[in-house]
Amino acid sequence: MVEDEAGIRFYARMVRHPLRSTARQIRARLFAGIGILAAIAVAWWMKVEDARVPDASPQIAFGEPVSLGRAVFTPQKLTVEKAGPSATAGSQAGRKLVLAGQIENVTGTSQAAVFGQPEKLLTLSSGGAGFPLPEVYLVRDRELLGQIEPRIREDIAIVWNIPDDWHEQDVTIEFSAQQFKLRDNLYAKASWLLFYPAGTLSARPERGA
Amino acid sequence: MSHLANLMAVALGGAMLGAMMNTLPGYDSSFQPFAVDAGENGVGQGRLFTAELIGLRSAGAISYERYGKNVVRDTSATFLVAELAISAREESRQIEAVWLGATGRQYNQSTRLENVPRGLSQARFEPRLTDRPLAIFELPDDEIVGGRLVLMARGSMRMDSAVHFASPASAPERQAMLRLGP
Amino acid sequence: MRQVLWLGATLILFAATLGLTAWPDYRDLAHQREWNVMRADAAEGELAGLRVGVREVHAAVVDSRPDRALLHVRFDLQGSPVAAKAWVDCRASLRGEGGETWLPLYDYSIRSAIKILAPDGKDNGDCNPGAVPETGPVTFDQLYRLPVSALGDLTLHISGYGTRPAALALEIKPTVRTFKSE
Repeated sequence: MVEDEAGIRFYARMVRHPLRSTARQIRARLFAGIGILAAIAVAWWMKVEDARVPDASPQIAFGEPVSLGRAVFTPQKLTVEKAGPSATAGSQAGRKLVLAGQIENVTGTSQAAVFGQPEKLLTLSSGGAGFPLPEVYLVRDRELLGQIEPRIREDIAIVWNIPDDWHEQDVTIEFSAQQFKLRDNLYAKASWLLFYPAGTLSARPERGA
Repeated sequence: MSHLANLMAVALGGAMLGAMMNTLPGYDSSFQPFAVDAGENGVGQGRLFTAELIGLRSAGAISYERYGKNVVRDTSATFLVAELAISAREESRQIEAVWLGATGRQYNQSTRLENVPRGLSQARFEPRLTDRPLAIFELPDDEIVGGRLVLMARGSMRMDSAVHFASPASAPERQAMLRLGP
Repeated sequence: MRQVLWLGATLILFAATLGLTAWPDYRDLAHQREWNVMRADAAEGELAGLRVGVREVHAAVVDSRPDRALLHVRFDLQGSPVAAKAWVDCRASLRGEGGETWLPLYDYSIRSAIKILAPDGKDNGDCNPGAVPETGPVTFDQLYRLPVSALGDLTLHISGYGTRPAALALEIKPTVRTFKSE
């Protein structure tokens, strides 16, 4: 009981007479001020870092890989074809804009949703014409792409139906990648979250075979 | 001295809490099906089905007939064809198969070959009847030896049983073309 | 004494909380399970205002696979549309003596077998209480795949979402036909 009293008395004395000399007071207040300013600066800098969004997504050239989140796509050629790559699927009439490239699944499981779940396919813009959503074909089978296995690189063709009012001009394709978080904020489980722009490809389509 | 004791108590408490937080099993590692290993004879008794692995074959290309047309599927890797004998227990059920590769990656059945005759994804199994479906995977060669076949009932809860078969000791001989008939 | 009273109050409140939170889940479970199975004397029975009658049961066995049979069951529902609406949906299954459950085949491609097995060659469609008219019964066809050894002791269980946990059990006595495989 005596020891407790001594301890309590020590703290009580601290409260009543914090510091004895002026130099110590100044030094204590200086340290406190620096500490507060440092805390404010760090908090502000963290906020700035979080909110910072890259101004423009990187420009992608042919042959350069671009991340799609679950897969990595390497565009190789952009052509205007007279018909789609498949004999059975899709509407075959009319010109098609075909982006051919290689895709590789970089996750650890087979992926059925290569362009994200919910799906966000590539957006194509050219001269203000309204392009529909593309279809993705597996060139090996000439059918719609079903599933990509890890560690197996496949050639795919992404096909847009060209609207009637479009003529040969430059085309801009935007790639989006889905963000992966190993431990998300809700259940601490691995999940795929929002999309961020991963790259832009600007090219003039060639005439296909 | 009591200051030091207080400090020690706080530090110890902090260390224990930190250790508990860092060793907490994550959501994904907790919510896994529990493994039921197949016995020596290759027969696995799951909660909802009984399955036996008859054999494994590998091929560079697979062909089959669908609606009178010949369909050929080739690959830059390998097709692994697992022949199974499955019978449901208690209720009619569909089964899914997954290959856990040697590198730890998980390969689902190939959707390019989902319409193959006797395919596992199209089959439904009845109690007291044994069927022999095929489960086909497309994977690189080095995933076969050291990998395992896992069967689960489709539509069952995440934490239900999954039958794990033994890993093959050697890779099956790779045929250039495998023809699958009904 | 006061502690005992508090303990008693805690136990009572705990039981009440348990009951209140479990009640909706219990109701949901009761709508899925068939706990009260009422056996009908003949091939006809009544459940929640609808009269169910089994009209035809045919089993087909192919001589190349003599251990399995394809069973065609034709039954009809009769009653007021109000009672049919209360049923909501229709779940039919075959039960064996060991408690096995066989569900009907839903595959569209296999339903053409009903046209072969039915004596009048028609497929009336799967069970749907919404189709019960004001006047007269409506017929439905179902197809099951079973082992031949189970054909002797089969019961057809029928229930709707609105009738469960009550279900109706009807005796099934199939006639077996053997087909030669080409």
